[in-house]
Amino acid sequence: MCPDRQLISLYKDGELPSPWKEKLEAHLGTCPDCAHTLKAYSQVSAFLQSEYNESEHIEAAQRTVWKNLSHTLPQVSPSGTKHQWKHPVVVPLPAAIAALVMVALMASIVTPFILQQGKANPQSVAKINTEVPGIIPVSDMQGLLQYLENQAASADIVIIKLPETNRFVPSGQPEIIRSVDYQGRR
Amino acid sequence: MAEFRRLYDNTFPVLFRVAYRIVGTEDAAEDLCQDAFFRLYERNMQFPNLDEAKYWLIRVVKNAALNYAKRKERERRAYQKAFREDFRKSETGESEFIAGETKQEVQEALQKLPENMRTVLVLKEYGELNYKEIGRILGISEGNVKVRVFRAREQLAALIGKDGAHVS
Repeated sequence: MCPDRQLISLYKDGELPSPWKEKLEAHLGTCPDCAHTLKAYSQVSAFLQSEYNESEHIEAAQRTVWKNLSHTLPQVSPSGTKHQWKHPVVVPLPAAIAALVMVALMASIVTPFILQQGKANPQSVAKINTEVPGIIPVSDMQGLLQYLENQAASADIVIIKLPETNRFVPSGQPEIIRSVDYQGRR
Repeated sequence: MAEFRRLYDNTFPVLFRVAYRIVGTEDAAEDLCQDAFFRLYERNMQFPNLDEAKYWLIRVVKNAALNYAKRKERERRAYQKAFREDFRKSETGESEFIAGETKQEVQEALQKLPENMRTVLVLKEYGELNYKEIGRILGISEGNVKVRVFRAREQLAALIGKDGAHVS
């Protein structure tokens, strides 16, 4: 007697447990009708899978959708760019030494130019100072006194004389000022 | 973000296959998958494991794909009614026609199944899922999945067998 066709469907999907699985397998070997049913189910699956080359299309779609998502969602970054700085950069030892020597050489060449540029302003200031008669051209004290007298004679001396009396009289309208200032104090 | 990428890499092929078999076009299937991942990310959804996330995504894609297919079918009928012609036969070129014809046959055969059977069969044939997983996704019992898969196969075998070209 043939089993229920639903068991053949289960068997096709690998969902038929032991010992039913083994019994059905034995029956399928001897029953052409049940074998035909199984073949029909398999052909339904083959028909459903027939026209579509899945892997190529799915891979292309997967890339496209991830690209779109990476644009749509700000925190999603395309693979390959996310960890690019986490990979160690391998530099050969001779190249590293050569790079250090080059840096030192460049520093030794460039430093004097930089220092020279730094001294440019003080030099110009010193030049200005030489044009100013700031140094007294004397060698002893007598000469210094003589020089100062000459300077004093040539300089404009402004004498401010204070008045001899210290008794001042208020000007303007003293009576009004006095009445305002001392109002109520008398 | 690494988790999201891992989930994406693991589940995209299944999602795409399921969506494509329901809607019938790659562009629409891509859009549906993209929307599902976007929703998952945007809502910052948490799942106990990768499988649960996969089931949620399949459920979302399946529902969206069924809605899309229904809408398209309505549009197609309205178009045919308005212009009194079948635009599916407008492809030119022999190879294009043959490829389109086979694709169309598969889609038509699936469309002839009731929705509950079609969904189960699509998940079984294209989703690489077992009965238990399909039951969890659809919210039905494992026994119910067995019955639906069986009936869908029977109907499809009869449909294809009627043409005589695919089933001997």
